[in-house]
Amino acid sequence: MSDKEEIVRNLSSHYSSQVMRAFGNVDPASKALEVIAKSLKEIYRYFEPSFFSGDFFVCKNLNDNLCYDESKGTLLYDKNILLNRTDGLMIIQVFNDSSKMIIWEDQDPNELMGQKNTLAYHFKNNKECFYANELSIDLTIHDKGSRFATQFNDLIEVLQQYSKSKIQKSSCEHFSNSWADSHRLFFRGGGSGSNIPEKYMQLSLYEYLNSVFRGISMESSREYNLMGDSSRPKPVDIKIHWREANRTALVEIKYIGTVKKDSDGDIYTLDNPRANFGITQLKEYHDKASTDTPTTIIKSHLIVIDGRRNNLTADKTTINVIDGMYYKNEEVIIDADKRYHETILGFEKLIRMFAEPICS
Amino acid sequence: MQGRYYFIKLQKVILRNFSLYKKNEKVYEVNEDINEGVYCLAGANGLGKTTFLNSINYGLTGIVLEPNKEVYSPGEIITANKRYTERYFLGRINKKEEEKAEIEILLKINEKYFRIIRGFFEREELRLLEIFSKNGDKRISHFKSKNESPKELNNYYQKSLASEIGFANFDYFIFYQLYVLTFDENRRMIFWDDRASSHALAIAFNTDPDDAEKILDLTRRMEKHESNARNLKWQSTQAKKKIEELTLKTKGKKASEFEELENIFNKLHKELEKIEKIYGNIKIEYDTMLKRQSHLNSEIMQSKIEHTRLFSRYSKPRSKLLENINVQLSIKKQECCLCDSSGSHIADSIVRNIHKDKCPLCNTVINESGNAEQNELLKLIKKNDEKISFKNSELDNLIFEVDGKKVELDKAEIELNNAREKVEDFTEENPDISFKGTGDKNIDTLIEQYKRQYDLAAKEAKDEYNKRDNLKPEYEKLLKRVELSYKEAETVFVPTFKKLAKSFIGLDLNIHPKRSDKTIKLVLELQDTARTESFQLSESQRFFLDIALRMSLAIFLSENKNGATMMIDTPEGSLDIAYESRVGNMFAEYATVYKQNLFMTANINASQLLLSLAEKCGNNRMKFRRMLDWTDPSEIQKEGEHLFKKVFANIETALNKRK
Amino acid sequence: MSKQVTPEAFFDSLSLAHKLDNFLDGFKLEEIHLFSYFSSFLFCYSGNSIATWPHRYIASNGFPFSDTINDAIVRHIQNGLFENKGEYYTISGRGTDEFNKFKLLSTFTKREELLNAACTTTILIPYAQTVRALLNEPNLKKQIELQNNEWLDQMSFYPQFIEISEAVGIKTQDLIIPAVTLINLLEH
Repeated sequence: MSDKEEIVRNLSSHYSSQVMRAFGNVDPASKALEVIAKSLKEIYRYFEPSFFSGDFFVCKNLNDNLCYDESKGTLLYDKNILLNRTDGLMIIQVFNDSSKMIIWEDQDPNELMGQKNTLAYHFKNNKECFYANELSIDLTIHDKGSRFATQFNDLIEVLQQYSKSKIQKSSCEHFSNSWADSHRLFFRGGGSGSNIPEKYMQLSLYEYLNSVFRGISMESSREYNLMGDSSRPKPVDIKIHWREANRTALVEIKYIGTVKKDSDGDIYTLDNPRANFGITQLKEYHDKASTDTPTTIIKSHLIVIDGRRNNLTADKTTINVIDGMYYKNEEVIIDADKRYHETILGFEKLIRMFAEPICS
Repeated sequence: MQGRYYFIKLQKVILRNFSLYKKNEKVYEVNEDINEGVYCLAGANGLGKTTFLNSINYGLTGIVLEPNKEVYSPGEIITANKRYTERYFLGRINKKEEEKAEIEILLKINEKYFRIIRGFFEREELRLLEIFSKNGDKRISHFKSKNESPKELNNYYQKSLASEIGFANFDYFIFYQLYVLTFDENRRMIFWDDRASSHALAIAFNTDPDDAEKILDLTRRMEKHESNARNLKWQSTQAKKKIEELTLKTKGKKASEFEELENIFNKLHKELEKIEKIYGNIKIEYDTMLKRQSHLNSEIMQSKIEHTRLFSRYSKPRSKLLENINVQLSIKKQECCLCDSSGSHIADSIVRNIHKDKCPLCNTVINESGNAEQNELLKLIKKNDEKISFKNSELDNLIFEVDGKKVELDKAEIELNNAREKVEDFTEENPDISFKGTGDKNIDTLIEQYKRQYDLAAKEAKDEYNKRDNLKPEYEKLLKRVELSYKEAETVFVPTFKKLAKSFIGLDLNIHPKRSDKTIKLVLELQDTARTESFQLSESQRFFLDIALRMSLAIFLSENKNGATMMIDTPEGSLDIAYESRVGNMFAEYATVYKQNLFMTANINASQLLLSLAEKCGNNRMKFRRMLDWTDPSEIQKEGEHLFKKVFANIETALNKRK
Repeated sequence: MSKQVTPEAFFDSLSLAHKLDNFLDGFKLEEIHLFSYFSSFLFCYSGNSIATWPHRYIASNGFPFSDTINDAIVRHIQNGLFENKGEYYTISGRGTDEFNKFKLLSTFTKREELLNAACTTTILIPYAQTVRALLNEPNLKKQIELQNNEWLDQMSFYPQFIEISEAVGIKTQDLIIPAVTLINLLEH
């Protein structure tokens, strides 16, 4: 049964099986795996691995013998000292007693990798792996961060899901209100500055996140809008706080496409400049948030809802497939001086969500 | 298992010198071409429709089933029914024609044709056997009878037929043809007969054909050991009684009482079997109720979650008031914009006041009844609320029933244990016999003999029980295999059955295999209750659900282009008129969608059934034959003829309507 | 209609809620049923007969559903041990206290091992993957398809699980690795 052989091979290559084999299939090995995984989940509530440029180790000795000299390390009572670490060397040993952790910051990690009865986790440069009995087992599954720090990675996944399930075919009740026509060629526009489509897009995303994303609380700029305090600028569209982790995400929504005004049926088009304006705005929010709450880990996402169509004139009511899907894979062009996602830590590359029209 | 049998397609049936069918003093030679799809033979009662059907089955198998007898296992059918078969045609064929009377059948299996001629009084012989296939117009002969003896021809026919269809042996074919594929006036149900359905399942759901044989064999042997053991135990008890009588230990037990005791013993045993069956059934029903309870609970849970969701949407703060900038500010700053009071309670107070009927500032009644969205929500909430209360009362009723059923179950368990005890007590009476000499040499010798008998019988009884128990593991293993392969087949078989049964009864059904110590049977759940005994359904329902099961089996087993032929005799006999057109639909589906065949006889009363069947099938798929040509009608039948004509005309029209 | 909540259901649902909240920052009620179902496989793996597992499940809305677990969940919500946070639930402070009290009882230590192993897979394997795998369990899928309203039968998938476990070479006493293996196996 080569099917079965394949399955067995796949299962044997999973990191958990590799760890077990490296230590001879003993119980303390799986306990070590469990303890390290749970500790990582806890520790990563305090700092964000994708912001960390140093070497981070978490280790467990199978018999709970000390990996290094105890006097050279510190008992970790308050994990808040890990807040906002961005570089350096950290080696944390965990034990069967989950309340005990010892941290060393100046010991030689190579010693660790040579210890025979120690399972060690290593994170560096957005790559993570286990060292088990001189065997190195790769764990990396995300481009950035760690698989044990799910907060930001989950957010990206949720946003991608949102794009696929709600924006692509406009299958959201709120989002569908942003269109002026039933074929989704034009966005709705009231008088200038009333930003009707954005209002619905925000509501759509807010409600989606609320129902699908766990462990967060959100603030949305709608609430602020009504305060009418003109001395204060508009805040970011959606601010996401993680309740059990020291993280915040800022989400700003911009749309590009053609708007048809309610009042007189005139049209105007928003394109790359609008998106770039969004980037500028978002950077301001990001900077401000970073200074307001310097210990919080902040990431900013710009969402660009792309409803651009080709060859669109004010009188059109239908569109063919070629013109309708013209921009489906057309990336937004980011100005050279706005490439903050390459320079500012936590400022993410914009996410473009293409909203398809109904083509005839 | 699935789709691997090539069932028989009847092509032609000829009856020669069959005196039952006599028109105008002359014997009518029946010569029917049987079509694919539905072949329906209609006629008034007493014309001989059932005989025709039985004759065909006789031609195919050499057997006519004796009515009112149980369903036999494949190996026993012939022995149990041969005598009846030999007598069946005596009254139907003139003595003079006995020798000449014969039936000729042309049938097709896959691409092979079988042509046989069997005399009505030669059930183990064939007068002619021809096997051939066709290549365009050319006939390619595979076998043609020449010098073989009639018995040899019959043997060869049986072997070839079974092998062509795919059955392990001809006995299985007889079983399926007579019990599963034929539904005759005896209305023998296989569904509700544990042994019958167990056999049918074993044959149908065995990936290894030998397994079916083994199961049947083991059943037989285990039952034999059990009955041997019972007899031996009885013998040992008898011997003991005799000893006691001789030693005057027991008072007043005389020889005549032994017979009485034997009767009591058998009665106790029958009683035990009955109670075991009842207990088993109650257990199944109880289990089904628990499942239903689970289901209801889950549905109620869902509805309650929905309820909460609707409510929170409904009771969201009134937008007009909340969107007011000042109100917003106040809530945010925890500071009243009017009087400047501040504090953590401010926000709560404001929110509370916003929810009241009147504007907190000017006291105007806020009428939101015009709000369309709120109305919609309210409607949904009301509907959901009804749903919840309906399901809750359903649950209450069910819990009440469950409690009752549990009491029933406990009671049955007690009765079962009692019955078991009684049987054990009766057969396990004092095992030690004290051998006290009476002083009388002759009597003592006799006692000695009886003691030996007793010891021997007791030991042999134990041996027989052991033998039975030794067979159990293998038996259970085989049954488990059947159960497993049924589970594999479930995804195909169950939906077919549910669909057919639903098209008749109009309700949702579930069907499960249930394995007990002795057998595996199919259990039906109707309308989320469990009906294990057929008496809980009306006769029509039993009838047609049994047919639905057979049809599903046939569909499941038959290879794609070689559908089985169900033989159904006068189905409308016990049919409520309401069900007639539903049945017509079910039959039509069987013959059209599932591409199987139906050979049915019908009384002219079944007009509604025949009409809906004709409408759905049309000329392409249905042939409607009247028996009027075959015999002389009686006076009464003659009188009714114009009525018949009208019905026939309607049916012809219906047939022609559909192309 | 006051129902009896069985001790096992009481503890299982509380323990699962505690862990899922801890690992995922919130849980849906059907996830408690799902992980309870998952735990029953590990129960068999430890050498017990499935007949002694205190919960039976039907397939409902694509998830396993157990009456006994449901009763316990309802009770916990009534008593404020679970808090409703919109689409998700969290365990309240009181709930955590109650759990910490009960997990010390000797009658529950074995159960706690199973539940812990089941839930730890949510950290060791990406959560969406774990849920997908569990919902892919053949018997659950079949009952959803057939709509035949039968009890879910863990034993029909179990032999395959054992066979593969042995082939992969897991022999530990602990349950974490078998749990991970089961998830990986169900994915295929």
